[in-house]
Amino acid sequence: MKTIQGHIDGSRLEADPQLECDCLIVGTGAGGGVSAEILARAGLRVILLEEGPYRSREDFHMREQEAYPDLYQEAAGRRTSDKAIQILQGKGVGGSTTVNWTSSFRTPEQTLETWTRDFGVQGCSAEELAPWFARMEKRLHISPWTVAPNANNDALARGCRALGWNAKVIPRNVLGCANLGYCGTGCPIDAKQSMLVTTIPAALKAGARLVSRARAERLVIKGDRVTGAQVTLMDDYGQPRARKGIRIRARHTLVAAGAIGSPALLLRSKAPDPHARLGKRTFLHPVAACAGLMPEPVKGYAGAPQSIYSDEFLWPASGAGYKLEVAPVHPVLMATLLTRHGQAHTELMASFSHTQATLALLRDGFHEQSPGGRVRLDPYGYPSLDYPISDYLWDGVRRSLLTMAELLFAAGAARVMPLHLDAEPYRSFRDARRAIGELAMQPLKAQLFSAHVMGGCAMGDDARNAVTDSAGRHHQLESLHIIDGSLFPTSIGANPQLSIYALAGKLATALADDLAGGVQTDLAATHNSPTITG
Amino acid sequence: MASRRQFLGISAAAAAVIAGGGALWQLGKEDHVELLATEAFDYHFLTLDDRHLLYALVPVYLAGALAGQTAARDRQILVVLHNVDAAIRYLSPAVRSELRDLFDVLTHQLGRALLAGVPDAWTRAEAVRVEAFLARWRSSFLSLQRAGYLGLHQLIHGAWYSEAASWPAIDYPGPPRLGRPGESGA
Ligand SMILES: Cc1cc2nc3c(=O)[nH]c(=O)nc-3n(C[C@H](O)[C@H](O)[C@H](O)COP(=O)(O)OP(=O)(O)OC[C@H]3O[C@@H](n4cnc5c(N)ncnc54)[C@H](O)[C@@H]3O)c2cc1C
Ligand code: SF4
Repeated sequence: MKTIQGHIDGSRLEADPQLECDCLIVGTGAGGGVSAEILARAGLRVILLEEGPYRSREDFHMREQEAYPDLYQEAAGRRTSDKAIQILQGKGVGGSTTVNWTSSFRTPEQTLETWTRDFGVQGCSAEELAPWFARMEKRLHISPWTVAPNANNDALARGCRALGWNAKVIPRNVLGCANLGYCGTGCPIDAKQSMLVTTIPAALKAGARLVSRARAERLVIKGDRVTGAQVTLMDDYGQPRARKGIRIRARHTLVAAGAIGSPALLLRSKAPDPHARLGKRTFLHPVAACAGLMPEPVKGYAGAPQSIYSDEFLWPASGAGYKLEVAPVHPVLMATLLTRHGQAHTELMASFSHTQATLALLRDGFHEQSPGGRVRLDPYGYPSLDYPISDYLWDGVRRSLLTMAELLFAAGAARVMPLHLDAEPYRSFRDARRAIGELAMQPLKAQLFSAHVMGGCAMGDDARNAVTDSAGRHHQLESLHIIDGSLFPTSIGANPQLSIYALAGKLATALADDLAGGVQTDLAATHNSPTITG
Repeated sequence: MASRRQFLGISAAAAAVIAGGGALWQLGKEDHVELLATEAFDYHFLTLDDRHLLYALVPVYLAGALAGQTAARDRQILVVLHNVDAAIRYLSPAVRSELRDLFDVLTHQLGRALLAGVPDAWTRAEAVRVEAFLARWRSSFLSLQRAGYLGLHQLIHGAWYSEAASWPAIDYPGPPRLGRPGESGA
C-alpha cells in the first residue's frame, strides 16, 4: 500500500483523532467519489469514510484469491437472505468501481421517463441529465472500445449477427488500457478510470481526508439534525476491532455507502421512516447465465471483460426485459458457478479455456410483480436482503436462458449449459429448448447473480413514496444527503455506474452550492487546492 | 467456545468407538487422522472435527482434480483446508454462525448418520457414501440442503481453483506478467 497525503488507515489507528469537517462522506464508490471531488474543490473540508481497505495498483496482483476477500463485500459471497442470488459488490477505496468491468452506459430514456412519470422524480429528464453525462464521460475518459473484442465477446457479436439481433460496442472508462482482462481484481496499471485513480486523488489533493477501514456504524442524530457519525474501525480481515470506535463531527453528512449499505446505515441509525420506505425497492438486475463450449479457444480471462452488448430483448411488449452481455471467465468464478462436483465438475473445468459465458441481466422494478427486495438488519446489525423472485421474473429468467442457448448455438457452440442445478450440457438448440422449457424455476435451482445493486433509498418528491427528495436530501432529517445507486426508484436497465456518476455530479454540485455558495464547475480542469479554512 | 469444541471432540471420538468396535485401533492406523491432528497450521474457524469432515468431502467434491498419489493429494487437501479457513475469516458474523451450525450438524454423529446418510465416522467414511450424500443434498427438495451443498461447493472449489497448482489441468496460464518487482511466477 502506498502512503498518500490525507489518508488515515483505521486498522492501525489507536487514539480517536477527533475529526471534524464540513461534509462527511460515507462510502467511496461511484457516488461518494464523484461527490468528494466536487465538494472538496468547492473549498469544503471533506472527510471520506470507507469500510474497506485503501489499495492501489501495486497491490493488484490479478489473483482471485487475494481480491475477493479483500475487495468485495463478504468475500464475494454476499447472497440474498434465502441464498438464491449471489451478489457481487465492492468494498474498499473506490467501492465497486475499483473492481467493476468498466462498461459505461447512459441511463436509458425509458427509465428516466418512468421515474418522472411514476415516481415523482424532478430534474432527471434525458435533456436535463445530458450535460452531466457528457461531463462525466469526459472526466472518466468514457468512449466506445476501439480494440477488437476478445473471443468471449466476439461470440456474442457473432451469435447476434447470425440471428439478426442488434449488437453494439460497449463504451468503457479506460485510459491506456492494455486489454489485460483483470478489471475484476483491480486494474494493475491504473488504466481503469475508477474513483480510486480519478476523483478520490483529486479530492485528496484539494484537501479532503480519507479514513479507510472505518465503518460508519450509525449517524449521530440530534433532534432532526445529523451531526456526524459513530465509526467502528476494522481489522485486516474486515472485522470490527475490539472496542475501537471514533466519532466524526460534521456540519453535513452525505451517505454514499451504496445500495444495501446506505439503507443499512440509516436503519442502524434508526433514522425516521414514517412511511416505511427505507430499504424497500432494492433492485439487483438479477442475472441468468449460460456457458457455451466452443470449438476454438475462448480464453475468457484475457482481454477487456465486456465490450459487446445486445438490447434486442431489453424492452419487450410484455414480460421482463433483459440486456445481453458476457462475463469474464476466471478459474474461481467459473469453478464456483458450475455447481456440480467430482468427475462431472472436473470435466467441465477441463474445457475452461474453451468456455464462453453469456449473461442476461433482467430489468427489475418496472412492473407491479417486480417490486424488488427489502433490506433489513440481521441480529448482528449487518444488512440482509430479502428478495422474493416472482413468477414474472422467473418467466424472464426462462426466456433469457432460451435466448442465450439459441445465441450460443448460432455462434458455433458445440454444447450449451444453462446455469441451473438440473441442466446439462446440451448438444443442440432443440435439446436445450426442450430442457429449458421444463427446468424448475425455483430458488437455488436456477443460479442467479447480481453485480448491480440499486435502490433502497428511493428519491422522489413525495415523502410518502421516497426516502429523499429529487435532490438527494433526506425527507425527514436536516443536514443529510444520500447520493449513490441507492437513490434509483427502479433498476436502470443498463450497467449502472455512469447513471450514478452523472446523478452524483448533478446533485453534489447543487449541494456544494448550498454548503459553500459557489462551485468550480469544470471537473476536468487542472487540480488546484483551494485554501482550507477552519 | 472452548467447551463447545471439547464437547464436539469428545462426541466424535465416542461416535467412532460406538460405530465399529475396533474403531480406536483403526483411527490410529489412518495416517490422515494423525496428519490433521498434528499439522502446525493455525486454524481460526475449523475445528479438528470440521477438518475430518472436510478431509472426507474435499476429494469427492474435487474428484479427478487432485493428485493421484496419496502424499501429494494429502498436501493438496490441506491447502484447501487452509484456504477454506482463511476465507471464512472474512465472512460476516451471520454467515459464520450459519457455517458453524452446518459443520456442527454434520460432524455430530446423529447429523452424519441421519442427514448425510453416512454410517461411518468421517475419518473412515467411504467415498461412495460421501458421493451419495452430496448427490442427495444437491437434488434435495429442501432448499436448505441445496444451500448446504452449494455453500460447501463454493468454499471448496473456490479454495482449490484459486491455487496455481490447479491451473495447468484447466489450461489457465495464470495472470499475465507485467515485469513488476516481486511478481511471482504463477
Ligand atoms: C464485479 C463488478 C462488476 C461491475 N461491472 C460494472 C460495469 O461494467 N459497469 C457498470 O456500470 N457497473 C458495474 N458494476 C456496478 C457498479 O460498479 C456499481 O453500481 C457502482 O459502483 C455503485 O456505486 P455506489 O456509489 O452506489 O456504491 P459502491 O461503488 O459499491 O460504493 C459503496 C462503498 O461504500 C462502502 N461502505 C458501505 N457501507 C459503509 C459504511 N457503513 N461505512 C463506510 N463505508 C461503507 C463500501 O465498502 C463501498 O466501498 C459492477 C460491480 C461489480 C461488483
Ligand atoms: S482490461 Fe484494461 S482496465 Fe481492465 S484491468 Fe486490464 S488494463 Fe486495466
